[in-house]
Amino acid sequence: MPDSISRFREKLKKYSAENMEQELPLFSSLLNRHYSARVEVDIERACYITDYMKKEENHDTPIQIKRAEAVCSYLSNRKVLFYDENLLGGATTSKEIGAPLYPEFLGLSIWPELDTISTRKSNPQYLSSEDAEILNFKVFPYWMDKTILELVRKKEPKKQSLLEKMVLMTVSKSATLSHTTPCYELVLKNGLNGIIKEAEERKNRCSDDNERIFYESVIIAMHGVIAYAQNISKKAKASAEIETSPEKKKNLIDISKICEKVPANPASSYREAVNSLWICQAAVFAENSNMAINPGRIDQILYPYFIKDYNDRELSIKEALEITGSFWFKLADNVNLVPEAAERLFGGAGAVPAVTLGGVDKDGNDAVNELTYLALKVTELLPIRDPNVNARYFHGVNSREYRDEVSRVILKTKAIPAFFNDRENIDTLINQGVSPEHARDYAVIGCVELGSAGRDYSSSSSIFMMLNTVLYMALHNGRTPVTGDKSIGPATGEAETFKSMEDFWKAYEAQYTWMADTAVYLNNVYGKIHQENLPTPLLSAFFEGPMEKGKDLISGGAIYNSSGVTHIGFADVCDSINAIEDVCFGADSDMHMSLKELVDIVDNNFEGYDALAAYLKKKAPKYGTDSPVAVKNSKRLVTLHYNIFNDKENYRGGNHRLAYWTMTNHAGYGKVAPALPSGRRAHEVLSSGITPASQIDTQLTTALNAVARLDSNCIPGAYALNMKYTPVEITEETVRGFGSIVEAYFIQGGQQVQFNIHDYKKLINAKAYPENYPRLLVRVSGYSANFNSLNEAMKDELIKRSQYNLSTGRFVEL
Amino acid sequence: MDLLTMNRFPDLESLNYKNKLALIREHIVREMTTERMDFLLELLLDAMSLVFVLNNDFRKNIDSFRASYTFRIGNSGTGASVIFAPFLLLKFGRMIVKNHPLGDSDVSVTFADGKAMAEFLFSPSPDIFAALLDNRLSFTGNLNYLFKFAYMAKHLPKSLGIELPA
Repeated sequence: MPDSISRFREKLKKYSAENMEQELPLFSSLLNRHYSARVEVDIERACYITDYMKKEENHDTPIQIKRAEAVCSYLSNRKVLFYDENLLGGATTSKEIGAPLYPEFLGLSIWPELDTISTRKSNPQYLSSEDAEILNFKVFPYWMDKTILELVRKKEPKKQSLLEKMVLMTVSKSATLSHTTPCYELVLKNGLNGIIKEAEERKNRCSDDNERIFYESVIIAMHGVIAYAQNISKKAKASAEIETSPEKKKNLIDISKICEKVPANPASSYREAVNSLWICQAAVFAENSNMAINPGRIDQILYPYFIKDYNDRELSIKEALEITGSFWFKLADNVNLVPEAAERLFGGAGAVPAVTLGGVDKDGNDAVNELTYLALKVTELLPIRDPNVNARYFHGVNSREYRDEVSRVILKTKAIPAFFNDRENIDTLINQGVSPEHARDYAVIGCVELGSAGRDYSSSSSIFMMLNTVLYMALHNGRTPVTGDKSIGPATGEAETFKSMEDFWKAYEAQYTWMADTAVYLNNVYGKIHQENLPTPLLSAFFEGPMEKGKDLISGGAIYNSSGVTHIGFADVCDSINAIEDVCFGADSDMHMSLKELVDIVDNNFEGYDALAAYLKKKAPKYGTDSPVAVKNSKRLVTLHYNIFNDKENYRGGNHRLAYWTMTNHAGYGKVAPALPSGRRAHEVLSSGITPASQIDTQLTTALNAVARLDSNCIPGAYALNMKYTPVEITEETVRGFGSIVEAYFIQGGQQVQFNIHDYKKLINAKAYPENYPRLLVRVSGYSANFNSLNEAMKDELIKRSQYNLSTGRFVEL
Repeated sequence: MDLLTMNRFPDLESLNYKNKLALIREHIVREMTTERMDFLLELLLDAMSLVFVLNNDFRKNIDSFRASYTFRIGNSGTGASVIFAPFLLLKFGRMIVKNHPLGDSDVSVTFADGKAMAEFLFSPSPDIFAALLDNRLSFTGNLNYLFKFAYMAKHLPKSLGIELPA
């Protein structure tokens, strides 16, 4: 580690949670406001977009221009408010913490609860009666026949009805246009005026009408962002004039000056760069929904501005911390609008903007710098749900000091950041056709997904595959739990016809293939509807590719055009297959029975077969142990899934990146899923991400190795591995021990791991006495959440997760 | 106006709208204490159509609304339908209820039984997802129309002064 970085780290040690109130009063003040602010539904964007679309409904303006002008209209007119002393101008919504409503997606789903959403028991989102009336009478009626969901239903009513059953798969495009990482470097370097100039030059040069329309749409959208920044500047100036506190007055004057300059023009200071990036990020939400749009590798993008100011003594460490902390709070100023019916699946989720730190640079050199450590310090000091902070680590290239610093922050915050293994993740992206230089510049998207920042329009949460349903269909000749006697999958035979494990695997493969084909088909239908209705000129301007090709992102303008496919129920299905092999086709099982018998018992929820359920849960071969059967089947499953999706193309000409992360879906879907041969009874939660089932008796390193053995080339979308450790005293020894375990797991081939440093007792108490744990942060399955905001099922899942003693590596029983 | 429950409750005929609604309210309260709530659908639709007549503010919800709904209870095929069609000249909305399913409605909803319907329409927190997964509710058509209907239905208890079980 260079001396300059060591010296910088030493200086950072001055700041701690214990002295934050004295040393960083701005952090304390912003933190208190953040936790006391209520979440409010924001309808401002919905109103502007609806008004514009109504006005233009009968005009034959190209949709690209309509969309750009609608977004520009909102950005140019939206309210500018200053709720606190945050050093940055700009916000996602007009509320202090806002849940923006996107009527073109699933915004109308809150219609039944317009009068109750403010007061519902779980995660209320305040909506004034005036705003509810506007939605009821003006906004929602316009969109009734025009939402993405409805446009697809009109086109594909039968296929859409499969989606509405939801236990098969989910295609998220009805809800969102999101999950990607833009490239803000060009904005910081050239300013939006630079982008406008380039678009104008290209427009004047090209002869293709579609390309000309695209460039025109980019220019309109960029003017909208500039108008928004100018309005922030004017409002800050006006507010400064009446502000009596000298400190607040100075801050407002500074914001005014900064926003007058950026993002229209290149940034020249750290604060300008951060504010420029933030305004662009907030502006993206005017066009795209606020789900997992990520600021990316901020310690790389912002470093030139930071280090210049720091070396020129224009910026102190305290000031840099305050600016970066202000950015953290801005990233946390919005949440998703969640109807009560969806709380079961998504309750407690933030907007999951992922910040990526560390790792290697485009040439493979150590990219960890002073700003990496500064961002880690901010993460340590600010226990808030968003941003979702992720630390990349390349063993052998990144220093051990960095590894241990990340470990220390995790132990301190008890949850954040997550650790990502550069070696495996870069290789798996290269295997997907990403150039080595671009693969090395990957940033984490939302929960855990990987994408080359600003080059890959990855739409990484496109498809959710319910593996427990695939298994059910394989054992019931294509029937599903909700379709009763009717087969919807291919006829692969009843369970009694399977004479060997290979017969079972053939059925599983056929059902998975059917589900994959259906999901890809539907995702592509949705994609086409997006192309026809929701072009994204604003976001396109922040990617490499669209400007060169003259093509919008959603039409394949990016360099890479992947779609993400994640899976729910991996460990449960893997253990079910292990169980079938053990008791039905194994030579020496204590519980031998035919597959038909087993299926009947499982379908009857193990009624009267407690001993069998206990055997399957605890004694049968388990993923997460070193059982040869389990190892073989887990590897076969991920390879099978990968091979089936490998030759399928999405609507943008890109491939599908398989992943295993579940957010809170594993808890929600588990609550409605029937029993499984793994011994899991009906309605119990499913396992999270790629994590082995909870409460199996295995050593820490054995569990980690079981995951590390999976071929990461088959998991290019990455996975969430959730580990829970007994809290320890933070010493050099425990920090190093923690880091060494992560490193050993990475050397074995692990891609990602995230932690909860909470024991069973604490989580049980937190569930029983939520008032005593108002700020308890936990890792769910890809993102962080406030424990209190999670639904009951998810809380129970977190409590039940296997806990390991860090010192001994032993499993601690619940 | 025609009411679906007129045949079963002939007393309704001689009453004015306000008293009709009061009587239907009584029947709703009684019906909700039964196991299957078989007649709840008809009573609710009648009540809703009367509230639209009596309450100008509530009627604004359908002033320019055109849509048709079919509701079925169980697999019997019996059911009722609703057509929202504004009076063009008077520019206010009206709700027409019929005692048979429509062949081609914008939304077709089937509830497993009256209880499932009551849960969906009256619950302060209707869990559509759970209802779909448990096969207590199935539908075809435009989901947004179902959302709007659920919003209007949720106002009924308040309009009728009915306390719902928690």
